[in-house]
Amino acid sequence: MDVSQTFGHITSWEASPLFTPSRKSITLPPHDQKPAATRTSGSIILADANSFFAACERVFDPTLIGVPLVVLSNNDGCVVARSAEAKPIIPMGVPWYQVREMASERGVVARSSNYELYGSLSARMMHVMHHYFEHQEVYSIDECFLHSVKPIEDILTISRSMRAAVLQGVGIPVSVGIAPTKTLAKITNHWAKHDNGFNGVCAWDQLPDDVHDEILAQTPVDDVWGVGRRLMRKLVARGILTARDLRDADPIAIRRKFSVLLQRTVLELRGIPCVEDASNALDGFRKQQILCSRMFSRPVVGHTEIRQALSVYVQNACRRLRRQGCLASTVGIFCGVSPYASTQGETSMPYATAQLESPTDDPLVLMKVINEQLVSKVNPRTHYIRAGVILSGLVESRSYHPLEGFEARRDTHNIGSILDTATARFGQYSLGLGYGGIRGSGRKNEETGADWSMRREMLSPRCTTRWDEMPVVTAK
Amino acid sequence: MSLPPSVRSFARLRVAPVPLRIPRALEAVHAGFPSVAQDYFLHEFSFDGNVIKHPDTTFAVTVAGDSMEGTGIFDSDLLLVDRSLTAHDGDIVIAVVDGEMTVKRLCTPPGQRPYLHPENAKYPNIRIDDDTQLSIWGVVIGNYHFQYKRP
Repeated sequence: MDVSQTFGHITSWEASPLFTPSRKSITLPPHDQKPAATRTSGSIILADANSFFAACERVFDPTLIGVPLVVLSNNDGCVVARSAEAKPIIPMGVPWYQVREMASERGVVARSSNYELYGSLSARMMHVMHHYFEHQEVYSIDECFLHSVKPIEDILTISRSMRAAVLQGVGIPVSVGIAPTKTLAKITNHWAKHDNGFNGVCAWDQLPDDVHDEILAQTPVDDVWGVGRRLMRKLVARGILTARDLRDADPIAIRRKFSVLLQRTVLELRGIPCVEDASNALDGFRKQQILCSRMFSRPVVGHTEIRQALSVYVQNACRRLRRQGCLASTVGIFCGVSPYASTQGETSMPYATAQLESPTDDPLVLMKVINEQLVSKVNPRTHYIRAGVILSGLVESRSYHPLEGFEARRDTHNIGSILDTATARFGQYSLGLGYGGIRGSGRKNEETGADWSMRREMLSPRCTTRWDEMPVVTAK
Repeated sequence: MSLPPSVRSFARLRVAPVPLRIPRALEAVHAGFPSVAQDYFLHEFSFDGNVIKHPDTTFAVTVAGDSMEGTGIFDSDLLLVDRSLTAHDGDIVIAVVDGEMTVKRLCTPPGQRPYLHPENAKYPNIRIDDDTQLSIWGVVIGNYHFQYKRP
C-alpha cells in the first residue's frame, strides 16, 4: 500500500519539529554494524499514538493540521493534551483560564475533550494493529503492547506497514518501539517518537551497546516505566539519576531497599522480561472499586440537585459494574467544596458509606440507599462544586452463590439491562432514573440538560458515535 | 453434603443467580420434532456486514450540495468512505482541499497534474497547483439515497 500516492501533501504531522529540550539527537550507527544479540524469547512491540487527543481532533477537522492545538480536561479545566506545535507555547496541565488569552494571541486553538470520539478512534486503531501482530494487550486509550517471536528485521517491516496502515486508515500517527522487555520498549518508543532519524519505528536490538548506554544515560530515572516522582526523589538521593544508573544498580540491594517491583524494573532495563501481561496479573481490567464523580459547572446547593447528580453518577457506575460482571456490597457518596471557599468549621468533603443488605448492581436499590441513608449527611446549605459515588466491596456476580433465602438483591426487574439497551440505541443520557427533574436539551450539557453538568464549550462533533453529528462533506 | 450427581446438579440450577440461556426454538416443538429449518437458518444477513468490508477504516459522512448529481450522489445522501483503499483514477473520493472535506471524482491523467472533477456541469474542475493543499481523505465505496421522504 503506497501511502505517499494517496496522501499527497499531507505528511506534515511527522515533519514538525518536536520540543524535547533534554534529549540530544542520537547519530545512528552505519548500516553494516552488527546488531546486539537476538533474543529467542521474542520481542515486545509498544505502539502508541503521537498526541492522541490532538490527533483525533484533526481527523475530521483538517483545518487543525499544522496548527498549535490543545485539548482541555473535563469542565474545560486544564490542558491535558498538546499537539507538537503547541508544546513550545503551552505547558502541560496548566489551568486553561490562566493561558486562554496568551493562547489566542499566539494562534493556539483549544478543544474540549471529546471522549466519545477518542474512544471510537482508539478502538479502530487497536483493531487495525491487531491485524499485524496476533498477540495484543491494549494498555490505555492510545497505546498497546504487542508480542512477536519473529526475527527483528521482519518485526521492523511489519511495524512500518502497521504504522502506515493506522495513519492512512484511521488518521492517527503512531510511534513503535521494539525491545526485549516492556520497560525497554517504552524507552525505545520514546526515541522513535522524538528522533526523526527513526521515522517513527525503532528496534532496541538493532542498536549497538554503546548507543544503548547513551540512550539510558539520557533518560531521567522518573521517565522509566514504574518510577514516579516520589520514587525518583529517593533514587536521586542514592545517586541514581538516570535509567542507566538504575540498570547498573544491584538488583538485590534495590529489592531490599525499595520493592520487588523496582527490582523487576532493573532486570527489565537489562533486557530480562519480568512484567506479566495485565490480563494475568489482575484478572483482566477488573477494578476493586468503581468511582464516578464530576465537577459541576456552577456551585450546587441543596439536597434535590445533589440527589439528581448522584443519580446520574450511580447509573454510570452501575453500567461499569455490569460491564465487569460484578456486584457491589458497599456504596458511598462524597461532595467537595471549592478550595477557595471558607468552610467555617464544617467538613469540606462530607463522605458517607452504607453497607448493603446484599450485593447488588441495581441502580434503583443503590439510589434508594443513597436517598434514605446518605444524603442526610450532606449539608443542604453548603455550596458544593463536586459530587461522586463510590461502589466498593465488589464481588463477581457469576461466582456469587448465597444461601437460599439470602439471594443477592439482583436487578430482578431488569432495569439495568433495559437502560443499557435503550441508551445504546438512543444515546447515553436519553433515559435514566430521576432524569425527569433535570431534563433539558443541548449536547454541551452531556445530554441530561442539567445546567450543572460540566462545561464543554469547545466540543467538536462526535463524528462516529452520534448520528446527527456525522461529518458533512461539501459537494459544490 | 453428598448428594447423588443428578440431585446435586439440579440444586445448583436452582440457586444459579443468572437465568440459564435456552436457545429459542424456531417454531413451537410439537411431538418432539425440531424445526425443518434448523440446519439452514441461523440469522439474517446484516447490511453493514455485507457492504462494509473494512469496518475499522470505514466512516459514514453526509453530503451537502449538488455538485455530484451526475453520478447519483445527491444532497443529504449518506456516503460510506473507506480510508484504507488506495485512490485510483476515476474513483469517487473525499478530498481535503484547503482544509475542507469535499466529495469529487479523482482524475489522474498520465503525464499531467491530477485534478478533481465534479459531476455537475454547473461546477468547474478543481485543478491542483502548487499552492493548493490537497490530500485524499478516503475512497467512497457507496452512497445511500433516501427515496421515501414522508415521515
